[in-house]
Amino acid sequence: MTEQSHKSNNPSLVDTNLRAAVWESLTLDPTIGVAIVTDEARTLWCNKRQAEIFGGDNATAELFNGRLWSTYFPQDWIEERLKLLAEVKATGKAIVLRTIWQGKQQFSQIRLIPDREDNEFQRFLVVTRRQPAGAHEVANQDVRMSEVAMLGELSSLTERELEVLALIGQGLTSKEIAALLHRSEKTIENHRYSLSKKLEGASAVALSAMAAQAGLTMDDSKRKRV
Amino acid sequence: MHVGDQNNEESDQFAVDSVVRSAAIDALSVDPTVSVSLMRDDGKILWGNLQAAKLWVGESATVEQYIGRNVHDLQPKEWDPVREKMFAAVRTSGKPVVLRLMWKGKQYFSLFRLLKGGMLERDRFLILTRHVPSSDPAHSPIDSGYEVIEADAVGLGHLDVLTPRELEVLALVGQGLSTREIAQTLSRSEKTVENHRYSMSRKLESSSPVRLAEIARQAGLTVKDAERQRVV
Repeated sequence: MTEQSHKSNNPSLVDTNLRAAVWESLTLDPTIGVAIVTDEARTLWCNKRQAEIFGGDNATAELFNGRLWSTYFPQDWIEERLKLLAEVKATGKAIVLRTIWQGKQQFSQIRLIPDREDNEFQRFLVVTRRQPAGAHEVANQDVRMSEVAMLGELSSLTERELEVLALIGQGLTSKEIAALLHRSEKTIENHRYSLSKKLEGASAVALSAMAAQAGLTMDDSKRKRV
Repeated sequence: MHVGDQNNEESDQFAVDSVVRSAAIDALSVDPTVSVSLMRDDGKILWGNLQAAKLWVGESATVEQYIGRNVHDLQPKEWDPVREKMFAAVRTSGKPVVLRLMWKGKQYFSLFRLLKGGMLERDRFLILTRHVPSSDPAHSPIDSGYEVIEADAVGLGHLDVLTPRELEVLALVGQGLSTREIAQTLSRSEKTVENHRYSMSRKLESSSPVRLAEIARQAGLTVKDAERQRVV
């Protein structure tokens, strides 16, 4: 099914009330980050959750609203996003960007806000949420993988440990992980042990829940860390 | 109460105008993690996205098979009173209310929001539903400040093969408890709990405690769920 066919543009339904209700549902939802950004690398407006995603649990929207990204974010991160904004603007089609941010997988839908063409900048709506491993299929969506990763509490882990954590999160046993990575079970057990130690003595069940939450893939271990 | 007022205040300076809000509707309508339904208060589905169609009609459903139908024909009848209760709660409180439900063995949270009708049109409800695994504080709607109502019927899906006793044990396995701790919590012998674990593993074709914990986590299963009325 194409995106066009489930558009909402039924004039009898999409009235001001509905638009307001949807907007409120989105922006007051404690799990969904919403931002209006521009192609001059600026955040015009964001909700509380988006501020927390950007700046940690105590961050407020005021920290980011109206600010240029260069105030807070690494250059690699900014350039990757500007490229995507340019593409969304050129094609008019939404893109989903997958990023590891604060050690967890998140998906951002980047959508053009159809403004008049004589504006000095173009606005985009960015809707972001964390997703655990395999929580949903992203069918019908154009998903891009971010090449920069912000590992947060996982930044003490080595590449190998990240790989093992990714596979634990996908529900694999030590034996299966060993076979997949062409290593001995003993080596994998060692990685698990040091993972548990670095992640505050997590038990096997806790480690697996944590890994599932993070939603890592093997490729994430090799991405550029910011 | 006018929907959206609270947000207007802080957003207006940055021109959160109707164009932005329309984009928000488009963003939600293609989101694979949220099912969205606009329902009239007599149960007619006025609008919904693909996820809502998949959730209530079936995995291969299209939106055309969902929009225009009546919810009474799509959802188990045990949920009619639950929905009525939600409608009443939202109308009474004047604020959105959250419903916790289990469907096909997974835990979902639904946010019900009232769109008041007028002289000539009926009230409508905007309902956003998301799958929320239990041990996921980042996804918990509990701290959103909205009232949460728990559905008193559960759709257990593939977990329907389990007895109430086995469900209790599974819920506690999901919380990371050991057999001994489960035995203490439920005031049973370790041997009995072992037996439950064994028969549960056979029924769910999975003996690994880690996988069982994952199943329980997806279901957001609590001990209370074991005794709730089951819907099919």
